[in-house]
Amino acid sequence: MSASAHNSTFRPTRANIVALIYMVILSVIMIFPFVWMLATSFKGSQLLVDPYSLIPRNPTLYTYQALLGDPLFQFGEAFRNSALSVLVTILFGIPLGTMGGYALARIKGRWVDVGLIALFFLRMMPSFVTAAPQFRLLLAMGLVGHPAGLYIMYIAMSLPLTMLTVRNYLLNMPAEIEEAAMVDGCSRRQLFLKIAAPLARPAILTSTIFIFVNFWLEYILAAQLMRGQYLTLSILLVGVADPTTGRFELIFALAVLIALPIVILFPLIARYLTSGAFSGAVKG
Amino acid sequence: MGIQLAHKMSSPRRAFHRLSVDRLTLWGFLFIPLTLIVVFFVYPLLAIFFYSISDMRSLNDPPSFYGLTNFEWVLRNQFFQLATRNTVVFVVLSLIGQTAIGILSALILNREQLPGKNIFRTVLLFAWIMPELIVASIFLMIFGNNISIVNHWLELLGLQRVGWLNDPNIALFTLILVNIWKGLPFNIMIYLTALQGLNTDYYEAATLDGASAWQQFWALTFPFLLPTIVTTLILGTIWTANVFFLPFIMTGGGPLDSTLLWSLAIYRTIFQNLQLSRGAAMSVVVYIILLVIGIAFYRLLNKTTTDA
Repeated sequence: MSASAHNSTFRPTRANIVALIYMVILSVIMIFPFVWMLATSFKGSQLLVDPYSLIPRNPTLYTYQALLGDPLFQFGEAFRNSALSVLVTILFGIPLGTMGGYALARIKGRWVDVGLIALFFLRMMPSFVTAAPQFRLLLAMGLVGHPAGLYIMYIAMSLPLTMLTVRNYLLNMPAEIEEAAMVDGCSRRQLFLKIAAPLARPAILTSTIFIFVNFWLEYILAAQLMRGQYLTLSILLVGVADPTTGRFELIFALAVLIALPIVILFPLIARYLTSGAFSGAVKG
Repeated sequence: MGIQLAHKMSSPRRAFHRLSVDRLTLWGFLFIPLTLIVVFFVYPLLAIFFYSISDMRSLNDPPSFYGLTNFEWVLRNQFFQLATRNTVVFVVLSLIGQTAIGILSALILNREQLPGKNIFRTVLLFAWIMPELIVASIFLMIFGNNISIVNHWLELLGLQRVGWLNDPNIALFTLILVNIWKGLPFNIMIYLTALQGLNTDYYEAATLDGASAWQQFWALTFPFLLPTIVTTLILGTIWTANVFFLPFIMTGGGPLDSTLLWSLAIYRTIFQNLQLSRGAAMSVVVYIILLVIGIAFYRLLNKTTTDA
């Protein structure tokens, strides 16, 4: 590291000023679409008169009142269903994935390596490829249109990433604590519950965030496996996001409401995604 | 009896017993997650191969052997050819844009004394975490046909309006632009992290030797970043080929199929035209192509890391 690295005060050299201006411009480009979304959502019926301003001339909560109050939009039902699917997926996916990830970190052998590569590719598989056979599977089980069928799919599809994240995290942890506890007569189950699982907390929280972000707006399976029997937020948004209807304020207000839980949880998300556990999830 | 045995810990037989019970418990931990993955994830992927050599014309047709006719149909189908051309343009230009702007931004921003760096990091993370469906909905309005804030700005500057999403020659590039925007935070964060491991001593030596910044980049920085670039490109190729909501929400594949990508073509063939076997054959072709690209990149990665 050069000497300047230790100097934390900003020195106005030409390169530093260029970097600062560049950073500000880039930040504006990255954040502008969300700011405009928020602004537009408060324009209500004024949208066509005043579509481009960043601060609405006559801000109104009308669109939100319509979305939340009018039973026609079924926002409450969609919100409840989306929240329920994410919660059920976390409730089952996290303990199962943590157990699996722990086992993968402790079992050695060529088969484990093959399995890890398979998991890495599985988590990259898009659901527009797997949705049709998954539909037939649920059909055979009599679960098409039944929420339980969707939950099972979400849980199974969340497992590869959780297992890889937990495994990579535990692999970097010293094994001495577990070895010492083992000599003291601790069983594997106790090792897992008392030592490994608490140790893997950052990886578990990172995985929980990933499940939330990945499945909160899952569309293809919710639309194709549930066949209109289970309204989720993604289905609602896709239905509204039709440019021919011209109700842009509705799209934006709905998008704001859908993004709200992510915004509320964002400080927590930011903390865990910048921690070391995140690099384990990306490396896979 | 059990209590008495438990005291004979030192006997080799007992140790072996403990070891195998321990191994069994570990495999027991794997049993439920592995079963769920195999039944609901691996089996569907394998089923796609069987469907692709069957003749299933609806979602509930039973599979039956039909040979390679579907693959012949897919390879001759002009919509699939169009989707392939579009996807190649989409993936290549998106990756070039994300990598070039990502590295450039990381090089400019890689200095410790910039004020507001944490705010910038937060902004990047926020844009990165937003689901593709929401991003597509917002950009539908930014580049929209009726209301378009970009066209509004162009008019303020006295320029012509552009048919961002309804001109067949432009729509694909609009989607590429949005996709570069979407992938930029990840790329900047990855390259910023990588640059922090770079030893600056070489640069001081190179500067003393009179090397220009451009020469320093190609002689020192680029070789150092190459393994990161290749890894990011592997992930990026798969992610970009899987992009679904940008064409699905913003253009519906149009105008004139100019933004029809593999993802949308497969989705439509299976779920709108209900040609299950043909859609399955498309999926197989697409994933063989991606696998070949992945292996090629992987070899390149091994080469770059052994050379370095």
